[in-house]
Amino acid sequence: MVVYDKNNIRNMYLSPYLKFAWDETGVTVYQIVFCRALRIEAKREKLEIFFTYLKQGITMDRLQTEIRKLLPKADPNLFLTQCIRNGVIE
Amino acid sequence: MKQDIIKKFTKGQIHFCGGVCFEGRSCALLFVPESGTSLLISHEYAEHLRNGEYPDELLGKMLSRGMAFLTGESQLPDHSKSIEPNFFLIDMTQFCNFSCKYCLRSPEITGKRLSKQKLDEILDYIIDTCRSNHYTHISIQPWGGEPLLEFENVMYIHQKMKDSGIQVNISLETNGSLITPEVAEKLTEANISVGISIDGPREIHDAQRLTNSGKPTFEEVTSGIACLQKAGMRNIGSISVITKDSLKELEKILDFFVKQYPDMGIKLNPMHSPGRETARKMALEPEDMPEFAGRLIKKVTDLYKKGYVVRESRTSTLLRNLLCRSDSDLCHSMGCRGGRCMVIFDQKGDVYPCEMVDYPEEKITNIADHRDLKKEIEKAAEKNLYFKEKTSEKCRDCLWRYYCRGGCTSAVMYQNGKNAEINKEGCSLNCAMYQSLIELIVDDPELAFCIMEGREYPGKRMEE
Repeated sequence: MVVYDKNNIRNMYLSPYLKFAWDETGVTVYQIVFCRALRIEAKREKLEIFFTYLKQGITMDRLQTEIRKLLPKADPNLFLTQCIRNGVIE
Repeated sequence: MKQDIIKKFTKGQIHFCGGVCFEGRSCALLFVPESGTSLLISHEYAEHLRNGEYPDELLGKMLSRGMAFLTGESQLPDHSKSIEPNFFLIDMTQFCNFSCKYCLRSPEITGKRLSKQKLDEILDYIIDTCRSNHYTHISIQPWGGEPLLEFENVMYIHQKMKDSGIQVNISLETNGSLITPEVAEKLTEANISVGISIDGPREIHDAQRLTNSGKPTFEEVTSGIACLQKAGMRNIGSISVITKDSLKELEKILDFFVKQYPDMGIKLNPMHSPGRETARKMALEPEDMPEFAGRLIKKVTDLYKKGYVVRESRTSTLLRNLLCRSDSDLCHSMGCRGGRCMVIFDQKGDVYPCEMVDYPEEKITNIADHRDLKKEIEKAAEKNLYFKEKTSEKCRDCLWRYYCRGGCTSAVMYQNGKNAEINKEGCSLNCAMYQSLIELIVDDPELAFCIMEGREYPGKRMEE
């Protein structure tokens, strides 16, 4: 949970309104306010690292770099747009 | 704690629907009652909002949380009325070896138990319902009476559901007296969650929970808990009924659990639905609820500050509602979803909403008719009193309306047999709890997060 102030407001965070359903090939993230689901396919350990960064707060530039490293199959811009539009990242 | 109304506004294409800003020692919480969502912000941002300034970066976060909308976007979906039966109670027996003073079930109802054949039919019906609706994960609670009087049938439920391939969380609420080492091992092996009815330390428990012959029960109950612990069961829960008398000892009850059973979940149920006339004097009234809420939150926070982790469910669920808008609690996250998500099967195979087996007029269907459960609930929701919306002028402007929506329907019906009114005790309790919890969040957010997540408070000072 984060208290937004002028030092962290530009960082990207994982929304608190999420539920995760893990399976063998990835995770389905349910955004419970908008009732939307986003499917992300990657190894669980990589996704967990990705979510940890987002829980701590991360700048947009660094987030794009991490996506390239952790989810090489994803187009970072498209992936981020989807995450933000579905309320998974704020 | 300061409290300001932030009026609705439009900036460019962004529309904010209005909310309340609570400000405390550490930070502020912007809360939108319409959607039940919130945003924690610094004093500086709270000042901006009060002055009618809306920094773009803050608006971005508000959009992400459904507190504001872009032009042309629709309102948030409301799932409180959706029909998703996935929590199934089965009335295994009306027998009980205890005669607790406040029991909701009438003492003259005796002698009825569910036959193995009917249980089989009920489970087939549940499996069909899951398959036709593509439910992969459900909950079943063998109910009573004392469900462990039907231990063999409980294990049969486990086996049959396991064979069906549907993931099932089986949970039991039991008085614990029938838990032997063998029973404990089987329950643990089957991964069945167990909640034990225990009202606190011996003198409090024994004043309320007696055997049918009037003998105290604390010894038997704690011996059952010991068997579960020895069998290695994790996440054992406790359920304690708080009466007018035991309310006086609330702090002692919490001390008992965190010190004697530190790993056990604690569920405190303030008694407000007297089933028996003789129990009426034991029930808490609406005016008792603010005291209960205030003392509960104070004691829980004090214990965390002393280094304890208190797994008390009401404070953590309500904090989760405020900070994460969890929709997982069928009773407290978005009003009562009994009937829509939770149904009960009686011993004839009749299906009722929530726990309403003793109210024939509320019957939804019978399993022998082989009708689609979702459709039958839809029909019942049109005509049965149980599903009628609870109304009160008070609710319209209430800040906590998203979560409460008039409170527990079964409690209202147990009390007055009709569902036109809100549950006054629940309303009073929710109002007091949410106001105090917000104060806690804005004064010490870290402590609030620890209570919500059930983890140790870093600012603790150990008790000497």
